Amino acid sequence: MAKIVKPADSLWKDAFRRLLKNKVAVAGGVIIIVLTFIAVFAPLIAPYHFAEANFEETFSAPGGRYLLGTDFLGRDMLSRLLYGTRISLTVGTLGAIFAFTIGVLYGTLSGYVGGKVDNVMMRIVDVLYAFPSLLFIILLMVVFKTSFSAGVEIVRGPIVMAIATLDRFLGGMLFILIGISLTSWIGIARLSRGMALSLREMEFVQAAKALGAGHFRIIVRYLAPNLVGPLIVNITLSIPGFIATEAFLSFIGLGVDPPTPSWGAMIQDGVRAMRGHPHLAIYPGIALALAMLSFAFLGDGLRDALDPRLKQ
Amino acid sequence: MLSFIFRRILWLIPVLLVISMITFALMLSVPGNPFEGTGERPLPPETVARLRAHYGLDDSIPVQYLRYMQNLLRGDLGPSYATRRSVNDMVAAGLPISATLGMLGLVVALSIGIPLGVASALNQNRAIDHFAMFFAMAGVSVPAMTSAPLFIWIFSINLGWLPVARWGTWQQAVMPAIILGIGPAAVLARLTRASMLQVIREDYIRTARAKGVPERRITIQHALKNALIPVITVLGPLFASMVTGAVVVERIFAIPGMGGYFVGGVSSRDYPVIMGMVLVYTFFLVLSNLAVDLAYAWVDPRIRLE
Repeated sequence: MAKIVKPADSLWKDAFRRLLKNKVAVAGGVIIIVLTFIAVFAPLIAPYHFAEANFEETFSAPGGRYLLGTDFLGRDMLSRLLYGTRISLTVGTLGAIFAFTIGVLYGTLSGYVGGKVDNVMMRIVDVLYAFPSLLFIILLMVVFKTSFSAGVEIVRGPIVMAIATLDRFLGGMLFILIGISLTSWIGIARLSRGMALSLREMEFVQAAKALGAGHFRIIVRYLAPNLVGPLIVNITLSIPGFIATEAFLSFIGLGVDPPTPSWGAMIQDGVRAMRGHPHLAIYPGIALALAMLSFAFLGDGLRDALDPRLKQ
Repeated sequence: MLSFIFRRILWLIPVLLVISMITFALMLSVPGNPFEGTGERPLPPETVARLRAHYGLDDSIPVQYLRYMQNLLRGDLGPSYATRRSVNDMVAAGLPISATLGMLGLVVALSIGIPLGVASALNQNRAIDHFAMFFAMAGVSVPAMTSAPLFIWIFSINLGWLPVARWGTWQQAVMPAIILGIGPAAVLARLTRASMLQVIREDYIRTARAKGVPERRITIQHALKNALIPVITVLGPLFASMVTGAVVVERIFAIPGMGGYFVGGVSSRDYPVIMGMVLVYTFFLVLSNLAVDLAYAWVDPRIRLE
């Protein structure tokens, strides 16, 4: 009998150790931590307020009083970049979590119930799936922006007013989140239905059923633990997409309300002054890519760490 | 095969109907009307009333929807509220440009992505592979909003090789096409690699090698042909993301495609323009998905039996 040299680690401990060996993923994780720190403490770190305009020094070059220069209104680029982290990270992570909550609930319910209900639920998804999600979200944003922002004077009930006020308080972020959640769950619902269907047929689930385990026990004890890993990986990998969507919406003027800084809106402002002051579009672009890359690399590392079989 | 094609085409009808209804309902749920304007000087009420009557905005919603669909079936997308042009005009002006840009992007994506994926799979875990996969990861995560200003800065402003913007000559198409194609190229590279890795372990590859088929022929005729089947399936969604992604590229490079009209319609809340653009986009995307599905069923007969 061979002696057990080392006690078996739990799945998570093991995965974490594998993750730490992946340098690129660790770098991604570190950058995400730094960005989170910046987002939380932006008012303390930023040298100026994001809306503070200095009309004497518009388009000033990097260096001097303004480390990264100023934009067309003489606002400090560095401060706006730092504040911009808030919108990107919040929309990225919360958008992913909301979209996955809706999608996974819808998909697993459909797959688990099966039969006619499944059929109807999936046909709905099929039709919506054909609707390009970026167009769908643009339409929703047009509706939100026009119904809630312009017609404040129109008396529209306390709930509507509360939502509109909250959105304005958040710089327009609430509607971006709602729009993203309402349009992005569709693909996720399809995926999770497939996962629920294949898991249901797994031998260990059948065995638990044969041993007399109830629905609740099967879901909590056998299905959920097998879903948590892939879910964490997929949520992390989807965050760059949500960050890009927010930037896109703000870029075409349907995202944050000015003067709230969003990298997408800053790029749009910068592109207009591209010839003379290219850095105005390049800096926010680099920040955007950095945030997206970090989540992509971390997600990739997480996938390899949680399911080593997948790594070819 | 025929019944498969027929079923797929029949499926288009409910899809387009539902999408047109959703779009229409969303547009009409906006309070106020397009002529009241937001912020600008309001028009006199008589003028607004006359404009509303002229465009039939006082009819009930189902009547408006039916009239719109009737016109649509005749190929008429209606007038734009904000400009004097018709939506048909805008589509006729923008669509050829956007389609050209999209096709060029697709060519870039295919000609970079697939060779890269193959090279990567054949050199698994070697330097080429690591480099290619790093490129793939970066390509997916660096959006056009980042790469376009960087490219302009490097290649136009500093090196002066390519024009900064606009559309018309081939030099002006180089940067937009590459920027549009890089992301999809990265997706294709990863997929081709994964698919190739699976295929080159199949028995029939070993058989071919045992028969003495030259390695080059094995790679292209035996392996790649089969490895491309799953790659075909993503071309539809990939093309969709490229067409919508082109909005950013068109805007940054001042290319007068559909994207510009669409964004213009959005910012002036010009509902017929928004509605028309959404329908035209969706129609082409659904059509490209159909083409991909058919191609898929054609190369892999197992699919027809779903």
